[in-house]
Amino acid sequence: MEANRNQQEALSALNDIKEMMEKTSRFKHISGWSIIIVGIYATIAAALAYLYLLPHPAICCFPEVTDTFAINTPHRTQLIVWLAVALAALAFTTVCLMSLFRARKHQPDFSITPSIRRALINFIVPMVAGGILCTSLILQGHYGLTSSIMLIFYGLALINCHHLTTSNIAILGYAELILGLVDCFMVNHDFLCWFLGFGIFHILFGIYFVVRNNKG
Amino acid sequence: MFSALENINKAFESKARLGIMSALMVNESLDFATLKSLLQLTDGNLASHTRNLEDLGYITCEKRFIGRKPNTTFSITEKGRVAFAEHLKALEIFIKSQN
Repeated sequence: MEANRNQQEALSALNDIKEMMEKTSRFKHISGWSIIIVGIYATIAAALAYLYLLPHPAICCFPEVTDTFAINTPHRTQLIVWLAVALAALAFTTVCLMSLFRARKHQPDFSITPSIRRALINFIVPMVAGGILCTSLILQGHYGLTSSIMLIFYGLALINCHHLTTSNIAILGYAELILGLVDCFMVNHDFLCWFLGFGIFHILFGIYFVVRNNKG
Repeated sequence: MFSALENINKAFESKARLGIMSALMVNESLDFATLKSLLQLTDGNLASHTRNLEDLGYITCEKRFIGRKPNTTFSITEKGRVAFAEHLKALEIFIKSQN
């Protein structure tokens, strides 16, 4: 009897240790719905860009606008850069707020531990580096690789922080990375790849995440 | 069975101390407020547990001021890491010996 109780105590001690280590070293409350919403943002942005910003097939029959560079006037470029920055900020804020809300709901004593801060830094550093690179390329008029650089850096950022959050996030990271690498060898499919990577991948991964979280 | 129990460290028997050690094993350092909310202890309770672990040389504490507010951060020492790893191993051996 005594031995049995001791064993129970030892087991529960081990469980407590494991739980505490998990709780303080990983942020496991990323909201699946927020990922779906990010995918929807990206889809809306892609639709807007397709309709208003890209050289539209319908207008391209006019000889004066067939040249892509004529379409990409400095003003238009600026608009695209600002739109992209706003979109990234909106997406980031949405995920952070919804995840924070989810964390508070599941764990009332939730607090921001150093590892959450580290996860955020691990994510933000590659993103900022990629963002600066993209901006520089756009300002110099090299538009061709923008979408693949965005995808590659975003994928790397996700892979870089997966060990501090849910490790599943790496799946999305690798998917974005591979798509970005494929994209940089393909000409004229940047827009499609961007839409696939930021829109469709997010929606699909978000659904997978929600389903998996609901299962427990 | 006795040899397995020998290595179970008395210092880690309380749930609070076990919690403090586990949290510090995976974090470089944690401050007083974070530890308090993680373990849901009162100020006095946490202070006495940390003082105890500090006296044993398992953790170190660093006191400083952020503005005018005192801020205490704790981190695990090498001795504490070794002691905790041994404790974990002892628990594991003990559980295995029962099956």
